[in-house]
Amino acid sequence: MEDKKIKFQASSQEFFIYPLRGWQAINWRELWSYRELFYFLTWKEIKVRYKQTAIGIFWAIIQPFLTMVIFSLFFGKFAKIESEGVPYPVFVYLGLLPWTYFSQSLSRSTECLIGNSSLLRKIYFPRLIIPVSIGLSYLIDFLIAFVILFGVMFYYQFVPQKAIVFMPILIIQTFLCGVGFGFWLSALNVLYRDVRYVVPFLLQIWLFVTPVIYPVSLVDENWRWILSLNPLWGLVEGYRALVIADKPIPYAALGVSAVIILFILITGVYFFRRVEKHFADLV
Amino acid sequence: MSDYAIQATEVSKSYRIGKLKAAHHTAREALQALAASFLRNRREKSDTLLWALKDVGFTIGQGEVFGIVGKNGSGKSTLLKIMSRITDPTAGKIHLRGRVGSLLEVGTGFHPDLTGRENVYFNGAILGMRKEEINRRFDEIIAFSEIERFIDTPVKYYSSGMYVRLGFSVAAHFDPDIMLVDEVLSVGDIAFQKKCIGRMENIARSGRTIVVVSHNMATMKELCTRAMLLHQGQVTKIGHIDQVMEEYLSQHALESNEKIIEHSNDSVVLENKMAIRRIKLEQGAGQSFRVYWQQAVNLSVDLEIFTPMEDVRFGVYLRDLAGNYLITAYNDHNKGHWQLRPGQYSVKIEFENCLKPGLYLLGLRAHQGDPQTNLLQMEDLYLEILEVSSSGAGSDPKNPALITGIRSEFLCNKLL
Ligand SMILES: Nc1ncnc2c1ncn2[C@@H]1O[C@H](COP(=O)(O)OP(=O)(O)OP(=O)(O)O)[C@@H](O)[C@H]1O
Ligand SMILES: [Mg+2]
Repeated sequence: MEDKKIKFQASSQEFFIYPLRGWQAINWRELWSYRELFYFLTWKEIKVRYKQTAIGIFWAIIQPFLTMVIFSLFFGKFAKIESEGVPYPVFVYLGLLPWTYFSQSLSRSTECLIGNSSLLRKIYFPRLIIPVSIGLSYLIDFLIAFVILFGVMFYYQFVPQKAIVFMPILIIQTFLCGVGFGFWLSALNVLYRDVRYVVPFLLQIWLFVTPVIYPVSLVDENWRWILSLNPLWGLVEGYRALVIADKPIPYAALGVSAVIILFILITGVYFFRRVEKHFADLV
Repeated sequence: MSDYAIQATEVSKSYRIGKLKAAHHTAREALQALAASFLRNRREKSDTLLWALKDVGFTIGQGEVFGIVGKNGSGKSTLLKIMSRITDPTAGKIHLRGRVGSLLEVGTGFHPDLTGRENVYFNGAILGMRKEEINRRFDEIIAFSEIERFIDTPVKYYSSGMYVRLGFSVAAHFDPDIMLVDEVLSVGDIAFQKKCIGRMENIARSGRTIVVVSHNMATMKELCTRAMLLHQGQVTKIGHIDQVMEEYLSQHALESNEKIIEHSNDSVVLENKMAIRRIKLEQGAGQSFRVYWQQAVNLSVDLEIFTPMEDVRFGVYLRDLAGNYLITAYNDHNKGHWQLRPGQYSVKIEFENCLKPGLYLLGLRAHQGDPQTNLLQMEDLYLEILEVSSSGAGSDPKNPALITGIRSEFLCNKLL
């Protein structure tokens, strides 16, 4: 008996529970000890998303692909929007890649806490994992859609420049952008259910203020700087610049985007941590 | 106690209820509430606070099995939620020594579209198990649940019994130092309940600390040595389980002859097919849940049905406080099974009462097809049989035996 007690004492993680007030820092050690849950929640997200669909993960391809076809037809062919010297489908697909990823992960993040209410009410784990796993799960869709990019480029006999190997940097930036806004919106949606009605509308407007359909050159110069405060502005420009040979890398816009994303991410985490203690009582 | 596992001091938890709580659901109402709070004074604001727990303190030793009892809404689940860090206390402090695992609901996070196997891994991960830990114990978990054959079937095709079996098995194979269990030992059929309790006893024997909440006094008596009684969020007694139970039963409300069920977790609803809304004792002794000795028991039960069902068996039973079944009566004694459509039903039950005077546990149960899986079970009601004269005949509780085939009458009418 004595031995057992000593063993328990040694293995025990001792902790105190007391009212949490104000801002909470991230508990990195705890997140690390739950690292497998990142994997499992992401895996569950993907699994559930495509279960019982006839074509499964192909949806990840079809969505951006069909959007590209339709946009190419209406904006490229009929409206004849210029496309920086590359075939319009390649141009628009490069914009749709980050956009689709961002908008999907954002709308799913908004619902993620409410949607997992039974988990939140009955079990403890670091809540931050949920929005992160949403971002990770759509990353899989993103990567599949990315492969299609090569198909599109091949079809139009378009050769990307070598800088495309730097793409992972932009992908990480896009991921952080989705997760940062995800922290804000998921937590806000628990406090105010209005958020879920606002987000679809927000995304509609957001698409227009992001150069997905149109090139930046179409925007009046006086307006560009204010529009580039939109973190996706620099990102979409960046995706194109890494692929299209004679398009200069928009370092300034990417820098602005990175700073804003970092700001959203950090404030998002702190806001999330501040209100997460109420989640179980409110969902 | 120097080597305690849990020590709580002055733990309190308040919830905002009523208008203010609802107000925070939409921004517009929040703005209105904000505006209103400028007009209202502070004292009025505190009136909308509900103290689910107030200054609760206790110490639980290492390796102890500790019970918490109390009426519905007394704060038991809230306390377990605070201990498992799901929700935050408003005041107070709890010191926990050891890895905490909580089992507040079976199959938390089970996703209907995932197979049993996938859910075991997912549920395990959520409970805090490592993948290799789950791998190692996988066969054991499945063997315990006895559903090997269905392990690769999506859980939405499981019967409710299979679902809870799997859910309990996963949680029961997680090895925390401190285990918090809320009202989940009464799931599944009788055989599985026995198995769950056995498992708990094993866990306790291996030196782990367990905190159990249950309305089933028999289970509590079997498992716990010490217990605590909560009443409206406050501790009214801590001590040996027998003393606590005595206190609990004596304060248990018998003053009313009807019970209105507001939230569905009062009655254990396993599938969302039906719920009990109200139970009333007709022609009882006074305005209370009491009948006289040898007086037939007349119950009127309001049921709400959510999905059309055929072949519903509905029954009532009486158990003694040690948990032995003494009387069961089912609707198949006379009218046959029911076919129910969604809506409100009123059920009138009358059965002969041949028990000795004393306090009994009255339960209601419904199932469909397989008698081992309940659609619904509730037993949170005490029926007292009063003596008329000093001589009390009837079944001898010293030698409890189940009496079936007593005269009973079940009438079911659709209201809406
Ligand atoms: N999220 C919440 N918001 C507002 N009030 C709550 C919330 N959760 C619980 N309460 C209130 O706190 C009180 C205690 O509830 P709790 O669930 O702890 O009771 P309990 O003892 O577990 O009851 P039962 O025996 O029915 O399970 C109740 O009055 C309940 O209405
Ligand atoms: Mg409870």
